[in-house]
Amino acid sequence: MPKTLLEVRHLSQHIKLSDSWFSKASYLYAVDDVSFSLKAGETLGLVGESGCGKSTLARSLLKLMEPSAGQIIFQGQDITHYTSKQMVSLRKEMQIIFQDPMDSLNGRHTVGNILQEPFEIHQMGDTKQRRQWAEELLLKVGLPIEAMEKYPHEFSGGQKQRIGIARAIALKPKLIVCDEAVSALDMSVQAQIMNLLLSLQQEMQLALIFIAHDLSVVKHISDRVAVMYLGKIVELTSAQRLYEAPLHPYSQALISAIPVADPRKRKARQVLQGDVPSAINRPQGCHFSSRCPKVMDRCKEQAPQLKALANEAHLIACHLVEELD
Amino acid sequence: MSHSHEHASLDTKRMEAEHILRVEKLAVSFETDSGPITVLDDVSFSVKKGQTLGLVGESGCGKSVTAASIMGLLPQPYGNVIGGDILYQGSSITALSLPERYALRGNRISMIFQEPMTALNPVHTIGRQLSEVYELHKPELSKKARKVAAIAMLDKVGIAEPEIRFDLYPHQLSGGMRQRVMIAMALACEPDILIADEPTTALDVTIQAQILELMRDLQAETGMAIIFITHDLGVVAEMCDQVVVMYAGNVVEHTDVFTLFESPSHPYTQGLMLSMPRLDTLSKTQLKAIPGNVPSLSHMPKGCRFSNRCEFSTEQCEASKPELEAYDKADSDSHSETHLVRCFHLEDVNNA
Repeated sequence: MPKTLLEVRHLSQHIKLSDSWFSKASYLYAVDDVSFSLKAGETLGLVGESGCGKSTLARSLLKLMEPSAGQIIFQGQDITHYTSKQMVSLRKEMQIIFQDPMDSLNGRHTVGNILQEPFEIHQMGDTKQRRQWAEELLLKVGLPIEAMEKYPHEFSGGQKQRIGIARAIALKPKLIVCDEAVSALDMSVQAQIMNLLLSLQQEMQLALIFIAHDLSVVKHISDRVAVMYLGKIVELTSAQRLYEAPLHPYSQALISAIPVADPRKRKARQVLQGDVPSAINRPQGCHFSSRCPKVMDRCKEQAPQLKALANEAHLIACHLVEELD
Repeated sequence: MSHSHEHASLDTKRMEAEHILRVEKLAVSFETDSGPITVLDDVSFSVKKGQTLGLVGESGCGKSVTAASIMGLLPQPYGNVIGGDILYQGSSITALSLPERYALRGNRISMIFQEPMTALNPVHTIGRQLSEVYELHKPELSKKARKVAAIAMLDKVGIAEPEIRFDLYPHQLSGGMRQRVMIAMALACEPDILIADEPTTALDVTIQAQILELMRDLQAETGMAIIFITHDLGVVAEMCDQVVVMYAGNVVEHTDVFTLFESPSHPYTQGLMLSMPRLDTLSKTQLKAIPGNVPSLSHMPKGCRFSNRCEFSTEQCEASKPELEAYDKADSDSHSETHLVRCFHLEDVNNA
């Protein structure tokens, strides 16, 4: 049984918007009371519409944002209130890959320098050793050694993402957050990068938190998937189960909306009406109640709690399911 | 003799009635500092009235340049049609004068884009921008009539409370709503052809479902043809009747949507289908990716443009260019539609 790597308890990220003597402070509830755990070597997918808090949650986990409440426990240590100095040594263990690799690759440095920098920062090895490590990293992500002397702009999108991945795995992290890491890539290249992530994960026992708006991609790479809506997790279960038999009406609508690549399976879908409400003025009670096709009176007053189904690792926050029990 | 001649001319007539747009051996070149590069080469397809044709392919395959050529929007003076023709209702539109272009563009052939803000002006209300379309194309309408028409159009694309929304600015609308406004503008003159360039790519999957449904409903109502440009095979399966698969400026396969998904015959199309994670593939397994990258336009392989990434490639493929030819797969159920494929080794590829 693999050990728990990361545990998140009641994490919130409430962003204060305005504050004056005359009006009550208003908050943007980007992440609201989120709890989950992640085992070593496991992939957790995060899905939901834009603005649901996926990326904010990911950034809070790495402490790129200071959480406003809750606890983050990484490898048994409570890191919620670590200072940035204390975080430095932990950064070896947790990395992030973004959608556009150029956001994180310095365009004025050669790929060789970019890949040696993490070792310099953490004072590992001598010059010769670092160079050798950088070359090994290139091979690992499927790039030729000649790439060492080139600059990031000389590479295609897929190759740049390989460089981003090479740097993320340089210090042998335990956790990598992939924030839309394959979303900007062409289909044929996207498959290459997903294959690379899957094989690196197996080789290095990497845990991944995988964010993507393409739900088929998330299903392919994840062990478990959490569905988020307006800052909250509404359903969390194995990828298989979620896609085969989603229980939350929001998950059902999301999955029903995925276009199926088979013209003989065109179906009447359950099209969700309207847009996501604002995260500043969320609907009372269940936040999904304003768009839910199965809304009941109770939903508009009382927010459902995220609860496990009897005897199963299937969490869901919906009054309907409580009534089924 | 005369009988058969008559028969033939009837056939062409029928074809012209049925095919509202035909692209024939279109070639487009861009002038660059290092000389001209051919971005489209031998692109042919036709669009039937009331049907949806999908243009599929990865970035740089020429989908958007094809659309720009049809719209007469190639960047000037760099982009030029250097061969072939585009026929709208049987007559060539590649050499139209500017006034003739204006009469066609936005009126008979319209276009929507991935990012609505590229088409919407942020400093004018959506009502004013929508009225402007009528001002340009239906000058006979009075100001009041234009407003009435614009509000009716907003209502038609599913915008609630159109009278109120008429006075809003684009930034006050959500992404899905802006896309609806752009569709309203494109359809204001009831065009025969709508070119949709990745219209749902930037949208969430739930909003994408809404917009696709809207486009299908409007098509059923108006009978317009849609050219749907996308890289998402799921959307293709959902929306299209006919599909053109493009790779590096070439059409590599052109057939109806059922044939394409049941028996994709070009190695590139097959590769695309296999590299796509599906809901029914086993999770966490290696996908069958196409090796390598799309070649850059200035370094195209000499022969078949897919030859450097193709597992079936031979010396013949490296040396000479295959033609787009009809292919009848022996064991497939005949859909009677023509299935066009550009490949030398179809027998080997499809019996492997």
